[in-house]
Amino acid sequence: MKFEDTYIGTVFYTAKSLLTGLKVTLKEFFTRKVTEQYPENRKTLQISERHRARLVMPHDAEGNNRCIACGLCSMACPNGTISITTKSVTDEESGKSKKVLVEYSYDLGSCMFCQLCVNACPKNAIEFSNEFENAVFDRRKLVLRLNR
Amino acid sequence: MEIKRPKIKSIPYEEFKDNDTLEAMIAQINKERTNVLLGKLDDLINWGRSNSLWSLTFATSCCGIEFMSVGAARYDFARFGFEVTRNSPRQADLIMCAGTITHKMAPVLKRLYDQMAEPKYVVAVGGCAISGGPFKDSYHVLNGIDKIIPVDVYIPGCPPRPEAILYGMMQLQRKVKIEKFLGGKNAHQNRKEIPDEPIIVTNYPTGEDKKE
Amino acid sequence: MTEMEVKFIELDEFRNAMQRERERGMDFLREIVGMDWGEEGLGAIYILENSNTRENTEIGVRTTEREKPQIPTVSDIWQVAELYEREVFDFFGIEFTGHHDLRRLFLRNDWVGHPLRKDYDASETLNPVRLESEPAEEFQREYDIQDDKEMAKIVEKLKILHYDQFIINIGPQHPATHGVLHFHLALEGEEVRKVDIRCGYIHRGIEKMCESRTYPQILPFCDRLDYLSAHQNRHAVCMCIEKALGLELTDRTQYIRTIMDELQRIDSHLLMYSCMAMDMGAITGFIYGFREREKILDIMEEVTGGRLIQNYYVIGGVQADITANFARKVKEYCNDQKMRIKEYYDLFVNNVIFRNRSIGVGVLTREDAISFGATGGTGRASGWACDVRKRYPYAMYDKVEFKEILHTDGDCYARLLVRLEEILESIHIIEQLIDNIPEGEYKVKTKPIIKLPEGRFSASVEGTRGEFGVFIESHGDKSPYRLKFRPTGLPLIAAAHKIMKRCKIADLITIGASLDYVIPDIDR
Repeated sequence: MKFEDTYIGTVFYTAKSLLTGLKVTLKEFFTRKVTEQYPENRKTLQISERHRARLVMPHDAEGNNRCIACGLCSMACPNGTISITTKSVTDEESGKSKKVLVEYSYDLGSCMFCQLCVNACPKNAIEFSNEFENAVFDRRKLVLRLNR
Repeated sequence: MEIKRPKIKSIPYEEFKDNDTLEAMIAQINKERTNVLLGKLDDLINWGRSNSLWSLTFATSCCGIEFMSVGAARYDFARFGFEVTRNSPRQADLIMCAGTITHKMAPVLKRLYDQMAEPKYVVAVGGCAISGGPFKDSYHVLNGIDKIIPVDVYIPGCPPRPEAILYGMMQLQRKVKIEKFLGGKNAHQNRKEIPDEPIIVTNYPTGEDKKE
Repeated sequence: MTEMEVKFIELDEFRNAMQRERERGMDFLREIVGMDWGEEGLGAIYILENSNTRENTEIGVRTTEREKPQIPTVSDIWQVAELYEREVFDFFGIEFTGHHDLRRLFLRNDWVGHPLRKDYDASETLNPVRLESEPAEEFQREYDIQDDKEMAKIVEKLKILHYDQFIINIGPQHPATHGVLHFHLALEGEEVRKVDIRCGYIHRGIEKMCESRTYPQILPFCDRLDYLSAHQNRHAVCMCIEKALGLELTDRTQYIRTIMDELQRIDSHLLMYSCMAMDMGAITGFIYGFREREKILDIMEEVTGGRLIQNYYVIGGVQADITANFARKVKEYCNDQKMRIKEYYDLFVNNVIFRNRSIGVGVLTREDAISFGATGGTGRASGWACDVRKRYPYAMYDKVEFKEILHTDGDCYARLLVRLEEILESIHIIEQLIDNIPEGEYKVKTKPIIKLPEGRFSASVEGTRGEFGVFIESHGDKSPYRLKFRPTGLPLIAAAHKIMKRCKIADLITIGASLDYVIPDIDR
């Protein structure tokens, strides 16, 4: 019989395999820990720029946005997360009427962050930002108005 | 009674979202006055409760993997006191509903919620649990778990980052800290009337048996 | 692998034709696609393959009866057809005569209607959210052909589970079922006598929703099917649409897609190892596996922006270009991972307790694996060379060299070893590609509204759990007429009752962990 099939052999090989495992965990005891201490590290936390946590409409210094109320984002969205209210404004000089944005409503609770709206926008008016701290107590607070 | 502001280490009160709901709840609690001794005892009990909320292992789909990541080494939730996840609902404090709930799963979720003992909390993690998410217009998906059980905290995202889930748990901790424990939360579950007529089983199966 | 020629056979000769196909050597039934052609009737398309010569056949059958459509069963020829036909019955109402247990698979058994039919009534009053559980199912439903061969009748005569045995439920809420799966077991003592698996608790109706969405709007759903092979799922759908349109991709796109697929594969196999360790009680293994997985997620998040649901491939290329230090980080990670695999062997795989619990447990033979269509790591652990990257190479797989890992034992130990060795092979593939990514565009211009030409198209990729395929029938619109995903996990579940015969409950947990299924992929 081979050594490992005898009784003493099985005891020996069993003890060896268990001790090898214990050696791995003992070595781990002395390595640097990988735990990130959120929330203490909030000031120095680096989240990837491309991470999608919330849709925003960037405004410049005077408070203007680039949205032209075309509605392409709302049509591209697969589940109706974006809804736009517009009104027609007549330009005095040329007499043409164009659409102007009144309210841009975005439901953070049903968005799936698929980027179809951002891809569809012809003027780059909306983009995703990586602020992830969005938990609330009340469902109505998740329906946001993006334009100012 | 002065206005109580729940304190979380390392995040100032002003930087939290949705402080208005908390302040409305505090105003509601302050209407029913309580004496200083019970108030201090409440603070002590709430401090203990909020730092040791044990959740039920309930993860249906993709958000479940982020839930497992929160429990793993990098974003450890044992640092906050949510040390273990209990497998039985009768031993759990909160249910973190991570994932889509379908028509077939809805009775299961309701039964699990009913089996939990007071005081209990519900956290809706991810777009699917808040509103049906990507599957809102499906024939088999429940559009949000707040249609069948009351929800305390909503964590949006698809799926939310582990840090976002931890932020949501800290919001829940703030809510627990302002509660009036003695005489408050315990007595609020409505009791349904138990019917008097017994339920009779009449259709015993009578087919042939096949032994394996 | 794209445009399909489907041979339609008359209903009377269907059964003989299928038996002849099986005798000819077509032993792998890849999928049964139920179809509702409107005026032309209801029917199904069967996609068959010969596992030795890799020849493909597609056979279709249809019937114009809409009230009681009937098609003869093939579940005695290919064992996986048992569950595939139950699915077609559930969604279309087609009754398969001779099937010995035709119950609904995904929906509640008090559901009214058949959802994927074109005239389905989706009103809330017909199927509201019911808060009581469905009525318990006690009987199998068998369909017999009467003497005049015209009508079939339901004969509810055989019980699913026998009363003298002790019946318990595992799930749907259970830490060891990897999601929401309901095992209905009949035990005798501690041994399992019969397993009835009830799925559908996460059935989200994706296939029906895809019929009313445009092609770019379908892509976000694919990430959420088998979320641990998110890149491969999207790769299959994008490949199918691109070949149907005739789009040529740049080399840069193909390199990036291959590298991302392999990173996703490593991620998923690490998770399988971690969850298997956790289920057997070794929680340390779980923590170590997830620590490595976080490094991959960091790399992927920097490029794609997501940790789990990545949204990266689009029709014509990828969403955004790779970043500058992508190559450096991937190389650092690969070197680190090669050393860590040895740690996993020391800690868990060579441990005497694990070896005693998994060697010889849950054996799946090669013939059964082919008959059930159990592809992926499970099939390769039973000796069936079923890797799609070798059978029908796509992207850069014909230009890199890698081994296909095969073991012949077919037990749980072999299934874990296959996955750990595949991690090393994936690292080998990445190392061959990472330094040579060519310059070029990362995305080709496509029209704003994408319409596929008329016809039937299909594509498959090697997902992390098996062969993931997609079938699209298009009538020239901007939405598909019928879209079907081949689930990687449904054949594994179908094989479960055979693997789990006479095992103890503790072995059932080991077998479930080693089969490595993801439930949203089964239920779609």
